[in-house]
Amino acid sequence: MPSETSTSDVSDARDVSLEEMRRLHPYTLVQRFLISAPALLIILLPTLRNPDAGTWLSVGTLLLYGIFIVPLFVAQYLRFRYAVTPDEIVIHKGVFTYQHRNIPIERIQNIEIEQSLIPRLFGTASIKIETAGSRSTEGVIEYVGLDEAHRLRATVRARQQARSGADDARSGDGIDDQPNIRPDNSTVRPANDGPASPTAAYDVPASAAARDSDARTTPGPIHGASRTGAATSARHDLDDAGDTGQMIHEMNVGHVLLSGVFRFSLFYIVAIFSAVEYLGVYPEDVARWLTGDRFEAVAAAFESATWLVILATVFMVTFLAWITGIATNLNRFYGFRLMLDGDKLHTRSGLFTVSEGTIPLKKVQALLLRTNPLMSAFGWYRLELQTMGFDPNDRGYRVAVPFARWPEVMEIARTIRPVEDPGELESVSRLMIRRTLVRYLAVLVLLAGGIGYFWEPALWGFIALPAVVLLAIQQYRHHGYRITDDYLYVRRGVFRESYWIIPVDRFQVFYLTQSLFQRRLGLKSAYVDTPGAGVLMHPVIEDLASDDASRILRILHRRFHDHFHGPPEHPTDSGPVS
Amino acid sequence: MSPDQPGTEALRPLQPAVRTVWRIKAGLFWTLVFAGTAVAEVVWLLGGSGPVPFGWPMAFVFLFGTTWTILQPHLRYRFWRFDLRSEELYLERGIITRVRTIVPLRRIQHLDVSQDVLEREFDLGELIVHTAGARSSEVVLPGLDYEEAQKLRDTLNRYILEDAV
Repeated sequence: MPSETSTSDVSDARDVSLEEMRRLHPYTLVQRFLISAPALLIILLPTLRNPDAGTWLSVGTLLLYGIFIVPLFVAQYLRFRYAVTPDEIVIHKGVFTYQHRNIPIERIQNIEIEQSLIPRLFGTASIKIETAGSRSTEGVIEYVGLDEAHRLRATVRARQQARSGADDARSGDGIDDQPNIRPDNSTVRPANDGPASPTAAYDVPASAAARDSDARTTPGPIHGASRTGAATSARHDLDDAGDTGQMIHEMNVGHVLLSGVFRFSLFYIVAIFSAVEYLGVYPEDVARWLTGDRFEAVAAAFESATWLVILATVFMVTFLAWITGIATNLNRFYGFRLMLDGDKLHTRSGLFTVSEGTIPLKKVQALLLRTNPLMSAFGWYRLELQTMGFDPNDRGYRVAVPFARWPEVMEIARTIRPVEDPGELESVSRLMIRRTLVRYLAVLVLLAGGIGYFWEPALWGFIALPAVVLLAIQQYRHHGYRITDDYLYVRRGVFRESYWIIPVDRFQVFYLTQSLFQRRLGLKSAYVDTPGAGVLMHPVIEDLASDDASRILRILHRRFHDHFHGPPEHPTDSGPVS
Repeated sequence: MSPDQPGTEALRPLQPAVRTVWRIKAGLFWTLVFAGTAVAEVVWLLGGSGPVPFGWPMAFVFLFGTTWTILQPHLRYRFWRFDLRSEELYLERGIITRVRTIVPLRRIQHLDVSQDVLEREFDLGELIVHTAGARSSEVVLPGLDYEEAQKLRDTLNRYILEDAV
């Protein structure tokens, strides 16, 4: 069987035979039956309520359960095995699809031990293994004895500890976000990876064991007793971090209000009107109750002219969106402060709920400057940091500067990473206009034509044609890129303009794509993946001439390569990508 | 080694047997779709009148499904190429949209080898490369000889560890 041979050709150090691998706790089966019981009850509920009708149904369900589900649990239990070797955690599982997962120990960020209600009754726990930069948990070992869970965690920590001595060079790796607390907390230093200090990145086994025993006596769910694994002494320094560190950026009330002027929030309006509708309170009634019959004439006038109603509605919605935009913005960013404390950024803001955040500089994957046409007309930008780390709160985009002008944003950005203003960006192929236009037209024809087939007025949608042409041209004008020695700059978007600054050392995977239509036009798109990048808006360089795209990807790849290896020995030795 | 790309001829194709696996899977899928369409049509027929003449959807599904089952695995196989280079894994694929992917070995988080019931019959396996990239958390290299998939995994595994220290 494949599973038996899977590890046989691994080098001696990591060789694990199936006998050495451990099974889950035997109570696994009991627990899984218990957990599946409620679902079974729901299925059987009709019969239980009314025992006369359809007893055969419940018998049938029970039979199905006995024939399929129970053997499946047993088979899953029998197939699941795991082991901790000096280098990795090995998990073998799967009934129909065998899966062998090897998680290198040094990539493990955190091992979380969780105990929910039923496992607590049985004295078992589930182990969640998180690795650097993964979007979700990398490995779950469910239903092991609590002691075994703590033993496993201590083992992994001890092995990581043993390795970390020889680990200096590693932190140059993009998403290595092991906490690396430096003694000089107050010093401002660029986030660019210098040689890492050999600070112990993980607890010494003794302290880990001590903490684990603490955790064991704690009643209630044990939830990652040591989330960051930072050295305990450094931890204390950071506890009151909200007020320490060097102030980088601060917003006063006027500035927050001003920034709200540029934000429209439709969300709350929709929410309010939904609630009003749900409660059965109608705006007409409210208005009548407030004003009596004095505005009957106005109402009648509005009722007679459709365009007046549309105009008034648009005006009202815009006005309300504007007001709620200012209000929500004020609530969110009131008293905004950004502070630099050693290698961490602290943010604090909020009117009713004060939210604080910590962004370790090491977790910053890319810088993103955002704006919209209204904001950019006045030269305003918002700086967000694309982060990626173990903690779910550390993922995605975090606002570092809510509202500032370009030079100020760049200056603040420089305290985070030594970025330079690239000046004018390079354009992609002009054929992008044609491709974008065709895509927009297709959508327009489908929408207006499709709806117009059933409801004729929708055909008026075709008057949007010139706007679509204009939009395609604007998309092209707003799209640009530049590559410097240390960064890739990409700008995209008209209504939501995004300007990414991606450090070379954060590059992950390189893509070159060519769709059918692009093939006809001789275009290609280049994309460099980074941890935590958005799915909808991402820094792809679209519609480059094929040769340019290949060249650009090669340059990016070479920059990445040189960052970790130094310049190549034969700089001229280059072949085509395509 | 610098990140240079050898010509296309240096790239390796997948195991030819993977076409059969894909074909069986596509065949099963389209059989299911056809069965669903047939049931729907019969229900419509019994209920009086359907939105379209009887038999047309079934004929369409049958023709489209058959063409797909015959052509798609073949084309998919034809455009799949990969190469393990000294510092990166290079993949090329895609029928309509051609995608080239360069996964630097130092960016590999961990590796999986998986094999489903069908692949087991043909002794094939998939190598799944996990990276931290948002869109590349799982880069799948299908249609490998199972032995080879494991060897590849172990080679890459060793590489990651050596590189990381």
